[in-house]
Amino acid sequence: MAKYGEDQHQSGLNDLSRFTYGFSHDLKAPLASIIGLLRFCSEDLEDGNYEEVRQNLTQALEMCYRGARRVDDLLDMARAGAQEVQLEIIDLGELISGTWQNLTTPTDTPASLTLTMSHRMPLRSDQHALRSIFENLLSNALCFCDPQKPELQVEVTAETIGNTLRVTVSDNGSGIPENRHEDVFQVFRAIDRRGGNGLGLAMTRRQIDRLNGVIYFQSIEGTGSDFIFEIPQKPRP
Amino acid sequence: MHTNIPVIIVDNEHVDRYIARRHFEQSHDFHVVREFESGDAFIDSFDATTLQARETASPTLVLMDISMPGKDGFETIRQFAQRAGSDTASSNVIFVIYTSSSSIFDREEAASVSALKGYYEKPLRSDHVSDLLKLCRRH
Repeated sequence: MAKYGEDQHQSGLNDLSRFTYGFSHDLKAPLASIIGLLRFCSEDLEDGNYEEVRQNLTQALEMCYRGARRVDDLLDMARAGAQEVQLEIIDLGELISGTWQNLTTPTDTPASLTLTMSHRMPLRSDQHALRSIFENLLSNALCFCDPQKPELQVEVTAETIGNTLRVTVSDNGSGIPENRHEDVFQVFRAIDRRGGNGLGLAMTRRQIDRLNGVIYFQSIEGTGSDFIFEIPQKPRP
Repeated sequence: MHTNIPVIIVDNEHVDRYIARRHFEQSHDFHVVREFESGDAFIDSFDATTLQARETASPTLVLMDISMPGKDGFETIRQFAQRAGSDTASSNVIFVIYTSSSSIFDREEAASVSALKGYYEKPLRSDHVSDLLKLCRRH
């Protein structure tokens, strides 16, 4: 089981160098491609090959947009660590159901969600942070569904253990290969291209850090994944 | 002297494959025979690649990206070399890195992979192609 929450200082340093490397690579890679395309455009203009110029300018523009989106993603991530925690009473079931509905409405993926909410109420936490956490965990479950199975089944359970809220998000998706487990919470280490930009779970971990919690997972390739996070709750008065 | 050297491009970014392909087409000394979007797909075609290398008198040049989904470029080359073992045809395959990374760590790792014969930063340029031609002719 891969666990986060211990040795955070060392992990933070590793994160920083990985972040710098990933940031440089992710911004430099599209720039290198744009340079290559614009050189060809220059040649093609001289040769009067305007259709090739048009196609390559369209490609270059798309890569510029991609670079700009990456910067936005990174700014979002920086903001995720900087905002103050704002506690309010949260209906966890409603928050999860609403997030699920937003994520599944535009897709054709056959998917079901089962909620088991047995945690102590009222729950006071940071609504924005929890929404971001569930957006990432549930969208990952949808991205990594197993096409061999007739339906993606996602189960979310919430329980209170002592003064800790424990939430488990389980799916019957494709699972994570064992040799990629250590990359799961690292920035810019997308497990494969279905999962997006490699920032989602790093951002999730960051949000859970803000709530003084821990997140860990267990996953078997071909069977599915369980992501579990625990955040401290104020003792009952 | 080798002419019209076969090239395999392994890169998940289709624009970078296009840039490399177009430079090779312009050079007339190379022709791109296959392209792969991942190291895994390249390894899966091991038999076809060694067959290619066996059937042609010239070496086969492989341009390998580093950052790809699944296996990275270094791991792909190591697995290829391991699988090739003492197969003489595989010694006719020349690997070079084709990456946007100028990181010292990647350069150091490249230097540690014995099967690698070069490191080229994107985007590919015509002087890179001339250099690659010299590399293949020396082989």
